[in-house]
Amino acid sequence: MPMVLGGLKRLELIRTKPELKERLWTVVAALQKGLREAGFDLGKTNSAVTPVYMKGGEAEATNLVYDLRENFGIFCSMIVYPVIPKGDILLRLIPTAMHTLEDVEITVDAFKKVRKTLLEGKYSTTDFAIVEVDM
Amino acid sequence: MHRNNHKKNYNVDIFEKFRANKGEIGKHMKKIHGYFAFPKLEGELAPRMIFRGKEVLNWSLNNYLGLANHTEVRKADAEAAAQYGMAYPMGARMMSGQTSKHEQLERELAAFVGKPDAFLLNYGYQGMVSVIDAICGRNDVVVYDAEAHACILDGVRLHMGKRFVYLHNDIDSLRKQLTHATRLAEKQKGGILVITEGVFGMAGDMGKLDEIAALKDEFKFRLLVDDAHGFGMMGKQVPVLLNILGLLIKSIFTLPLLQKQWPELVVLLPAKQIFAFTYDIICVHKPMLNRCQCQWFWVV
Repeated sequence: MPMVLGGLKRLELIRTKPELKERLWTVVAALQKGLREAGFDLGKTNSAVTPVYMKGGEAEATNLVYDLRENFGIFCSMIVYPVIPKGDILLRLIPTAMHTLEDVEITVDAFKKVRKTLLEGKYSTTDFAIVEVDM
Repeated sequence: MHRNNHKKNYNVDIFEKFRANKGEIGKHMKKIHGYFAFPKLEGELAPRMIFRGKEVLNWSLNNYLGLANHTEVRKADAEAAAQYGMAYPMGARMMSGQTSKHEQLERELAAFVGKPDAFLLNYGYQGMVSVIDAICGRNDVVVYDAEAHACILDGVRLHMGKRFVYLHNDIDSLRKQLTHATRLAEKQKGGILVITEGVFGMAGDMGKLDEIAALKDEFKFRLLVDDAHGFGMMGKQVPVLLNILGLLIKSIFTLPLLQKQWPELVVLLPAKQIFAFTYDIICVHKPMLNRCQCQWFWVV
């Protein structure tokens, strides 16, 4: 029953608060524009889903995401083979109405920096802090 | 008593076999578990959450409109849980689980999307599987997009009849597969169901719904659209999209639609063609806060 009553409330908010969608699209537009202007490949998205395509193997992908999370404090999903072809890295960002334009700026900046490290080949070497995960 | 020793020449243990080969992602389990896979995000659902003790800027929640942790939503959820608990009503709706609130929500949802009726179900993933299974029989033919979500693939896998896959968003390929499908369906006296998505969740591109619907001039089929990632977030605030898709977007997505934050939502829109370009069925769902949520399932 909470799901049904909660559903009624959500429907009410969707009906009565168009500003939520407006805020979402402000963030989407800023994020996608920022990334595209920085030269990132966002593929063929024409929705809020924001994929960022880069090239690299497993080591590059894991080290890049590790760097993003640990040193830049950016958390996003990483998709690798077999969901996408080998040699491709896909980072997927989902903007929301709750994000701010400052969040966008921080993120675009972080992406530029990790791309630089990626292109320098640093994520493919053991020089980089290879992920050690507690099991 | 004589017993054959069937183990003599055959001794494969399914657990051992699985341990030896966990698949493309599973083989990295030790390295990725808890970090790349099954990460724990703690704190309130928000752009800033805690990952391994540190605050991170989080871009991984499908909380498009921010309803998941909206104060009014949290209040409504909590009050309902306090009043009814999580177990009420009990049993399948057909047997003992029907309530007037379910009916009210179905009515409101149907009115909201301009359809005659709606029906709620439990999960998005299961919903797509169920929809395909429920409406397709052995003689019906399914034609689906190559990049369709796993829930569609699983639904298609359950389908006992024939299926054809077309290249992602490729209308020529779809036309070719529809030609095959039509030939077969005619022979079997079955129908044809085409399945695609409104917004593909991985790449963010939209299914070419208008072009697919236009194929109805040439072929007889019904269209099922899974719009888990598009519903409610697309709309008139996106003039570029409006230009691209014209009438379709105007007629479908500018409705103040339901959306991704909605708990597990499956929408089945009717067979009646209300819009100029129309889909017959649209499916919206969302793995949300709880795994025990209702699913909304519109059927007309």
